[in-house]
Amino acid sequence: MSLVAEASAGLRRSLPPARASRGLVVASLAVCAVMVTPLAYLALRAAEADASSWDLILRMRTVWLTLRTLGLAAAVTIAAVAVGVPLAWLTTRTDLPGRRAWAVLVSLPLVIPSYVGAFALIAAFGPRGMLQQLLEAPLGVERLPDITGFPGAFIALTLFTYPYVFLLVSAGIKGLDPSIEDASRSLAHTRWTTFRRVTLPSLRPSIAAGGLLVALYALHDFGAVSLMRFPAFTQAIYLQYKGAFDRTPAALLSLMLVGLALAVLVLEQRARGRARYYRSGAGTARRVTPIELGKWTWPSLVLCGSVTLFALVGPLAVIVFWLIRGFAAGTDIELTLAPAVGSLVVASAAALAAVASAFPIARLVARHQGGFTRSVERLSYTGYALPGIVAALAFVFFASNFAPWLYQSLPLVVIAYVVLFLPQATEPLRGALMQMGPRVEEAGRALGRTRRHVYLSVVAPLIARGALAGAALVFLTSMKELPATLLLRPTGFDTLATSIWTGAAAGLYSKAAAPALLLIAICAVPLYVLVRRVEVEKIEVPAE
Amino acid sequence: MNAAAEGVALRCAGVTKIFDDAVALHGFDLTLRSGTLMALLGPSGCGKTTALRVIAGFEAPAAGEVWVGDRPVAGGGEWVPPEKRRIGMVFQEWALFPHLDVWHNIAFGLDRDDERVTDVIEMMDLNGFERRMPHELSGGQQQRVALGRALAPSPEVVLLDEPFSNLDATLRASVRAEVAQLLHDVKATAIFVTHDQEEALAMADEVAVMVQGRVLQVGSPHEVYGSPSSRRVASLVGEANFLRANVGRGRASTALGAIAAPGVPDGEAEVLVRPEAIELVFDEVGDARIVRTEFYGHDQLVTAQLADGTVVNVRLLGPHPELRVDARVRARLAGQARFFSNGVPV
Repeated sequence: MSLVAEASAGLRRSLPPARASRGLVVASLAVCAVMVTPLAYLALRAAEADASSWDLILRMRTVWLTLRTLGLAAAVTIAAVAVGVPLAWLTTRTDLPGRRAWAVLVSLPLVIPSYVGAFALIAAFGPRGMLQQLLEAPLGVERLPDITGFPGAFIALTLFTYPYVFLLVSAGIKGLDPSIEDASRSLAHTRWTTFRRVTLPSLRPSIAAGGLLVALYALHDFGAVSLMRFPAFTQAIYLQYKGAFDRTPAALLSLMLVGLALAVLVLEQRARGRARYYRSGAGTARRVTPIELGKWTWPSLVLCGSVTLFALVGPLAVIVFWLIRGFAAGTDIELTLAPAVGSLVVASAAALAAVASAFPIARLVARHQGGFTRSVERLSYTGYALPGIVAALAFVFFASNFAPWLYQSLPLVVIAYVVLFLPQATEPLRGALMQMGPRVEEAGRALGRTRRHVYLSVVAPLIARGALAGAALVFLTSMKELPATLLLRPTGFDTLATSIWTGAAAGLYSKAAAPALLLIAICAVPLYVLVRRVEVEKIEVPAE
Repeated sequence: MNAAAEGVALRCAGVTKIFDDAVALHGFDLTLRSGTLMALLGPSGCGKTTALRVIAGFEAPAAGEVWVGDRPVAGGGEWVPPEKRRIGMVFQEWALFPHLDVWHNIAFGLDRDDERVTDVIEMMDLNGFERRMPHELSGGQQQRVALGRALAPSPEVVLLDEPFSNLDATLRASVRAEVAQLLHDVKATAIFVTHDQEEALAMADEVAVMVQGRVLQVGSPHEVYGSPSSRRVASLVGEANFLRANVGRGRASTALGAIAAPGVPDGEAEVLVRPEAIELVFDEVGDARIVRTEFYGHDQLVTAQLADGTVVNVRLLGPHPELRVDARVRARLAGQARFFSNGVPV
């Protein structure tokens, strides 16, 4: 929880929470109903499972599947922390030359979806990839070592998820009270033991929160593991869904994957530990003297440079290479305009719908604490534990059985996005509402204004930035979303994500290049909005 | 603490510290004898905290020297990092390690010396709180943990940066007395920074008055209050009334009447009169008038305008219901007066 949130939590204890209006309760219940639909429906289907479905699951060697998936998630999380934490420390606390520019550069890979990254890796190092083609003429190289499978999935996921750790830990370091480090030095500890025994443990919540996002991403990921042909849970679910007429085994597998995600969430709670992280009192924030890197300057620059090279410049270069290749060979590069419009339409609709759905929940959490609110809040976080492919499957089942008019329609795609990404809109809105506090609204009411007038003239302008940040985040993730879009889209409807997928899965690298580049370019806009927000008010670590 | 009784525990000579935009310390001189509790008193922004940070080794001085005991730690080509200085520090906001409990906070600076931790916890009256996390403690307890943590490794000098500013007023007085007692009991050599003159006078053995990056006067609380070395020090330490005086042949005529001025050169001068050194007597034909009163119960602060228009603050013990606003009074000197010329005592 942020400081502001904690301060208002203290306030909340001293004042009985005001009763939520009926409209607010109804609205938030409606949102929750939509949120729980996929899981409830899956559970229903699983309950109906007969012995033959269970047999099938057992024959699939699900234990191995679980271990493989968890192993990948664990390896990616560890690697992302190992990359993200040093980068965060270097760009916030040291005199690294150009540290502001590095901070932007190393967070940019966030706009590259992992399946685009995987595609770039395959298009560079895979069979008939860029490297092999470049080496073939002079050296006669016909085969390169295979990068698909675990190494490819591991590299792709690490390179494009470490920015979560980087951003959250950077914010954590900036929020750290520098005098606890001084205190350690004055107690006869060197700079290194201070870092190990004080700084690092104090950053535990930010590292845990960043690691959580990475672990969930790796568990949920469908595109990168599929392109790398790594048999992870999501791929098994997809194959089961595509290949079998009976969808019950797919539902069973989905529930198991949700179980894994929940286990990761519990693990993260444990990793936070008992400590609370706070800066007591107001006091004057003193300037933090940057640590001199000295002879470590060059190695640090090499680290930042190689991360930027592999996670940003490299993928972009590969994509541009194939784009030019395609043009030169006169390959029919399909017009990417229609998928681009498709992406923009569904992502914008999802951003608007998510902010609208998040408002009643954020308001309940910020203003009306209590048992009801806590349940609503928990339900609204379902999306975190729900892999895209699982939500998509559930909605496919649900719509084909109960709402055929929704089946393969754009509104269903948007609903799935909202279910998956709602917390991203709730968090900043809740933060904005808490920062604003209830007194401002009461002042407006006391000045004889109606509730409606106060909402429009006081609340709306004050939370606009939070709403914008939430919308930008949902827009960004919706643009990148692949599995739910693949399963739920109307026939013939393409987004940039699905065009990239189609091209990359078929090995038509130049066909995937144009939409990939366009997707990255469009995603850079909301990222810019978010980075500005981080600079202005520091990003909030997702609350427990 | 283990230096000789009358030995010098800490010495700063000509220390200068410049930040990008401002000079924080400008020829800062200070000598601290072992076993002394010194207050570093000055207005906010005068460089007090910077001085502590330079002494502790968190900032490097641009010029000047710092010695701890007989070891040079900064200046003259020497640089000892903070972890090697044997200087303890209590931070303004205590800076307790949020991820460690009370026991481990106190043990942090020790090499597996459980006995010492137990002793310190005993000394700080923290028995039963060993396993509490910092956020589970009250303000006063956090304060004691911070002090205990700094004292545990038996540093040569303890620095306390505005240690009481984080406590609310009701708690402050008792914690202050407690801390002063503790520091005396362990014969600690300590400097605490404060902008509260009452705190400085009440707690310290010695007070160093600091303005704009340098120390103007060091002395016992009685000395700096009773014999300030300059007009500036006089107004920083306690309340001060300055009256115009015309001196001639050992006598000065002031708005409080004629007063003795032995040894003061003839001509214009200023007289420092503390509020408790003026007496007001209710008198319907008096030439002074009361303009404001603040009643505190045990005493009261009365502002009076004298015959020549000078406004003085007067502190009177006990209740004086007759001294209301606009009442006429007679004012006279009932204590010490000190003469200043061009801002320095004469």
